[in-house]
Amino acid sequence: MTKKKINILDNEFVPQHTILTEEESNELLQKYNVTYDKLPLILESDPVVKIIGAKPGNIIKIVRGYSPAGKSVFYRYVIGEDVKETLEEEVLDEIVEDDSGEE
Amino acid sequence: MFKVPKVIDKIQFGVLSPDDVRKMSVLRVITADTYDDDGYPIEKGLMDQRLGVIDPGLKCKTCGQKFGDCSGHFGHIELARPVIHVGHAKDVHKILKSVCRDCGKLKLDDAQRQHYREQLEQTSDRLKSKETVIKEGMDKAAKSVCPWCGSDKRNIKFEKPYTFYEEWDEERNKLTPIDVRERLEKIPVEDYDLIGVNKDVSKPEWMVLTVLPVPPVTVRPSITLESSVRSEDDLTHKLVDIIRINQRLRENIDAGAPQLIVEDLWELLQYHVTTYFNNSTSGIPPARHRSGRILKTISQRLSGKEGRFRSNLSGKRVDFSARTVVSPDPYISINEVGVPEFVACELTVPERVTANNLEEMKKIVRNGPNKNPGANYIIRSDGRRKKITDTTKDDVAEELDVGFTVERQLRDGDIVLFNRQPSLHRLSIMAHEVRVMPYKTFRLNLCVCPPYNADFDGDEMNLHLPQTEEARSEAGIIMKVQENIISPRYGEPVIGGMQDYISGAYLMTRDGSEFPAEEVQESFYESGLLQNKIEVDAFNERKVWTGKELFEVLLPKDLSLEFRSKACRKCEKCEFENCKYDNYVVIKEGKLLKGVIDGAAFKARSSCKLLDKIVKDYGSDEGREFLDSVTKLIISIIMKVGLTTGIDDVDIPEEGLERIDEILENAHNKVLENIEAYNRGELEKQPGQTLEDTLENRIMAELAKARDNAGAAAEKYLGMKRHAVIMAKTGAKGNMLDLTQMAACLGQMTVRGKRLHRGYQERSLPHFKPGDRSAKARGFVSSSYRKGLSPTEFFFHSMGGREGLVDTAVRTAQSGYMQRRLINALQDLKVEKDRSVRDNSNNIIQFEYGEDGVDPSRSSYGEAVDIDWIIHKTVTMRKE
Repeated sequence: MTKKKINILDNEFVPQHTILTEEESNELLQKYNVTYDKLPLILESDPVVKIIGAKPGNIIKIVRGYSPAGKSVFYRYVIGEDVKETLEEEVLDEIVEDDSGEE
Repeated sequence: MFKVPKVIDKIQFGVLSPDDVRKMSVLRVITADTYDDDGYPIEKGLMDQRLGVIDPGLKCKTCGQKFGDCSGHFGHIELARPVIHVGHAKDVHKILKSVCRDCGKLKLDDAQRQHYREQLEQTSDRLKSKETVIKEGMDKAAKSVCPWCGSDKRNIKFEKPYTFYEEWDEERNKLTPIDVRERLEKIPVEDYDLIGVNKDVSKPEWMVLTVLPVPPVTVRPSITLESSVRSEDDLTHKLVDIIRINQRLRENIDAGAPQLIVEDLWELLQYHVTTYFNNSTSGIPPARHRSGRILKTISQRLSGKEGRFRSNLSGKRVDFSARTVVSPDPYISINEVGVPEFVACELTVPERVTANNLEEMKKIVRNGPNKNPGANYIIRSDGRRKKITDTTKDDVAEELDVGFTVERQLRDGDIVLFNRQPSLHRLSIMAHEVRVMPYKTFRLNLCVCPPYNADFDGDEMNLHLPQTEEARSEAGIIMKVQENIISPRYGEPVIGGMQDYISGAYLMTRDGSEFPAEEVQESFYESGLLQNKIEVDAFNERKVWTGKELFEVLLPKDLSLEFRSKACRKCEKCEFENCKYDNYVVIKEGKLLKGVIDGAAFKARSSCKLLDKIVKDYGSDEGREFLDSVTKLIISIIMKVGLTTGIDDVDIPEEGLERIDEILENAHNKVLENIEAYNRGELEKQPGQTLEDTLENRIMAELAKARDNAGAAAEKYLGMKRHAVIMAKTGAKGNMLDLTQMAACLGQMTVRGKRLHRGYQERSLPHFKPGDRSAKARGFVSSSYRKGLSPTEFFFHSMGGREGLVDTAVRTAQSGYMQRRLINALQDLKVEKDRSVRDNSNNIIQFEYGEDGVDPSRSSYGEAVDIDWIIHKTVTMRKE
């Protein structure tokens, strides 16, 4: 069986992702008065991120459309696998400590 | 006001140095014994009197203070050989790996050091913290050969919990704590920043212990049992072990004992010190008491649910609170809570005496402590407290002046917080107005039961009394029951009618229900509506009232609303206001023109249209008033009409029973046909299923259909004349499925979604033949509760029932743990002014609250505005 190429962006459940330009990124950070590290994250290896070609350091705008109050806009900061590892380690440590005290 | 004596600016954590331990010590403990034969503490022992006092009457030999005033003093033990501190073992390993074994320097060259130092200066955010930079640097160093002296690279292996080995080529060498300490000592101070040690407060070698602090006796008090036998604290036991081994180790070293013996004792000392810190260290057996009980050492004192943090620091106990059994009282407002008199006499609020309330306060003080509303204490302007007794109350009242504070007893109208565990959501604690009442229980309006999940089978609830004006007014404004009628979770009322209120409303408002004027007047009087909502004159004009006319009295005068009632039959073509079953409610300008009021109008925890509209459009005051009066009126009416249920509510005439039997008989036959087809091998496999699965599914489907049909056949006879049906159809209690199970047939019993099949080999019970797949043999109950179950059916039924019970038990345990984890994760999240949701380090969680910015409790069914209603309102206004 030959593998059929599917563009996941065509799927209706994949919301619209766009890469913000530097200008837009700065505007966003200014609007919420934060630095980039305060934004929600998304992995570089995320299927959609790979397709639209965003690199670590970019900010992605995600527009979802099916909420009762209309469309909702979300932003995510792209990170590489290396950052993910350090973040996960911290989280794992916390969980292990938490569980050991649970008995 | 309250004065903070000292403000903590910051806390600096570091590793305790041996010198510090000696400096804070008042005594070097050298004797492992505690008390001598006369029961006197032994000098330089673990209970030395210089370490503090635990006996009342004695004085501390260090500070001279009495028991209770002296907080105790540390001693110390000089260890004969150093031991690793388990808590630091992991860090020691990381450091050992990254420094040179010969010169002690961090194995990074100048350029690399420069690079990491620069990064350390720059970074301080979540994605690249100082810790990750240090970790990166140390990992890099661990992999390299020393650039400074070029000594060969050897791998340091760490064996939990406290053993280190050095490995090279094929060789392996154990590192003793002395070796470890030497290496750590060699690390130059300049390298500390790159291995994550703060040079101002810590040195890496301090992670290997040479002296051990001995905590004061006040931390580990011994208890004297009734038989005057002294019992020592677990920590003391552990310290005795440490000193004993330490002593033996020293003696053996001094006597020049063989290396092997010294090493054994050293290992033993390491074990004891390790378990002294943490007795649940993985990899070593826990130290036990002589009785076999596992000792509770330092780490065990701190961690877990019973630990210092969760039990003593986060879990505070409070004053000004009360707890007793709750019981119902439909005649108090939903805002109120009935407080027993004896509780009210105990709880007090400080109230400042001013020129305006001086007389009132005097009157209260004159009531004394035993008559509510009285007062228990006064505080004079100079801060002196004086107790009020029955003998002094009049004198105290005379003395009372502006500037005094009176600790006044709880009285009607005070705001208190009321709570029922488990406090799963914010509605588990709400503010109520006090109503002081006789007897010994808290009284609660029935409409407020759903948010607390309370019933009256012995439930107890807690009451808390806010002590300041600010707290009381804040609670009154935002936590009041009436402000919480609409749930913040799904935007529908959580407070509202239930059970008899719903069926009562139906009995009152259904077509054809009429009441003579005298009865109506009586009901209005009982529910406090007479002369409040309606004048006495109304009864002169109208001799007979319909239920709908009665109900109208409670509605706001300009309310217009249309909705389908709960009993709506969902006909194919809806006739709307011409519904022949009277199930389409039409309210125009406060008149109930059509339709019957039931669960769809004001039942709690459901999308009830009427209550929802009243609260959202007319405000919480109107909502509270509506609920208070509607419930009182309905009770009065239902007492006149009467509602009862009995076994005859599920009686079905002979022809109906025959019809049901026929349906079940057919189903049985069809099941047998399927089984036969299977046995003959003629059954066709369904895609993705085995032949057995196919058969099972077909049988299950056949039997489910049979049960439904039998139920439907029974339903024909279950008309609205039967009170059980009224309760089911109006949404008061139960549903039609329950009723058909009583009247017609219980249906298939299942365990884990499958027909019952386990128990005996190839059969569920010995009453059947092995391999019998028929309906009867696999847990289909064709009897009804009304008819009674056969012995085998009864057994099958209990199997299904047991699974349900087990599931609930498991679910509550799991959801409780999930709840705890969720609260820990979400407790600091906050909606900021720009409507974004952020955590405590300002990380953005959501850019717009809930991704749509809608607060469910302020929206109408999830939408920001109810367009239909606005149009409707505008149109009616235009007409006027």
